[in-house]
Amino acid sequence: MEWTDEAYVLSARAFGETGAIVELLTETNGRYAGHVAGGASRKMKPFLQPGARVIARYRARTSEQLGSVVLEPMGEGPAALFDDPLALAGLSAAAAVAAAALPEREAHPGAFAAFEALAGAFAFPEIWPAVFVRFEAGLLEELGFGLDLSRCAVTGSVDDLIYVSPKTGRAVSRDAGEPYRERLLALPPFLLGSQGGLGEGDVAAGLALTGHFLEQFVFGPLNRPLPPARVWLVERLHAAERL
Amino acid sequence: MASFASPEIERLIALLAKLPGMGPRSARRAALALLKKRDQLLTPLADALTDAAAKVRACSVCGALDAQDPCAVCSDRSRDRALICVVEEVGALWAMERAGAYRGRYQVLGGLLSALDGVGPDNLRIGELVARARDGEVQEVILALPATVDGQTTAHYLAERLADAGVSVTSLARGVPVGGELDWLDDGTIAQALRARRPA
Repeated sequence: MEWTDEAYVLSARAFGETGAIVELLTETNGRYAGHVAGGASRKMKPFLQPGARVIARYRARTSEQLGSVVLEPMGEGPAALFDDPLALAGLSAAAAVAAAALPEREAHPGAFAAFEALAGAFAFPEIWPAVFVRFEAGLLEELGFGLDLSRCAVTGSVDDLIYVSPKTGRAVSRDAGEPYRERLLALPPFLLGSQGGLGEGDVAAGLALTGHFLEQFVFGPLNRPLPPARVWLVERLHAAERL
Repeated sequence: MASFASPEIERLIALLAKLPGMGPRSARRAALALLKKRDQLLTPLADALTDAAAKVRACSVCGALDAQDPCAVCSDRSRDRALICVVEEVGALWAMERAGAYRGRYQVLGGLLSALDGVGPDNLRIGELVARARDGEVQEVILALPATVDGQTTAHYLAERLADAGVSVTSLARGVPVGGELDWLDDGTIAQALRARRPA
């Protein structure tokens, strides 16, 4: 089995003294792990980092075995974010969530596109936290648990959607949701479209929203908590008063 | 495969094979060399291992390994006590000492913050570092941590924790290594070097 694909490195762990096991989010093959010969070398370490963009050439004798992968770096990678602590935290969180949520060896081009958009957004400190929320919403959609924000689940109205049902992930309008407001999740306007704007508390609401559904639908059934990197990201954004 | 060596030799080979850089074959060769040179190698090595096991401990001040506590670096009165260099592991401390360019003291963290591996601030010697930085003697903390996502995440965390300690916090420069040719450098290193350029 053999393929060549563009990919983002999600994680890399030392394997033996000279190699590494790398986990990739590829464009057309989904999440894949592979052995990188010489992965501990000085030449390869710079791009065996979460968020590094690479061209991966994967080869395995059979489809069941862990194959070997040869990586070629594309661009600067995560080094561009070394001076931005929040963006670094965001990158680690995105890689950890993608690695933990996506099934292995299942094509999810939407997840790759969402990660790509997020990686590009880290250069813009004001907007990337909102893009992070959209990335997680995109992951949920790829996994079959997409939020239905098109109309109110109760009235069918498309106006004034400000809540989301924590059980179904469907939008609820202001009037229909008023009696249950304590139990509903807040829906930030930027999730409804790019014209939604970004107000105070919107990113916090978005992270709470996607975090809830990731826990409920993705990590809960696996008996896993949200990845620590994602928890740390929220803590750091909160400490930096960016929520 | 049947073994022709006694259990003692097999045990020696098995233990040697666990060392970095050694596999079963090289461990067998090393064991043979040790057994052939009993007086020159085997006995002195056994004594050295016993001594190291009995005496070498982590320094209670900086976390480095030494047979004395505080370690030789921490006890050296000629060292600049206003400087603390923060390193990930003892190997990095030895690299700094080999370079001979630094005359301050150290703090060995014992790892890096890693969300992937679940290593948090409580798993590292960060509290000790902050306490040392606040003792009034220290003026500068130099963060000599790896230029990796985990290394820089740790560096930023330390900078935050030290922000109100009344010390200057600096980190090592990133860029073209001595002897490095641009043609062989990765894109990240070149971009970092370009951003950190200075008047010639």
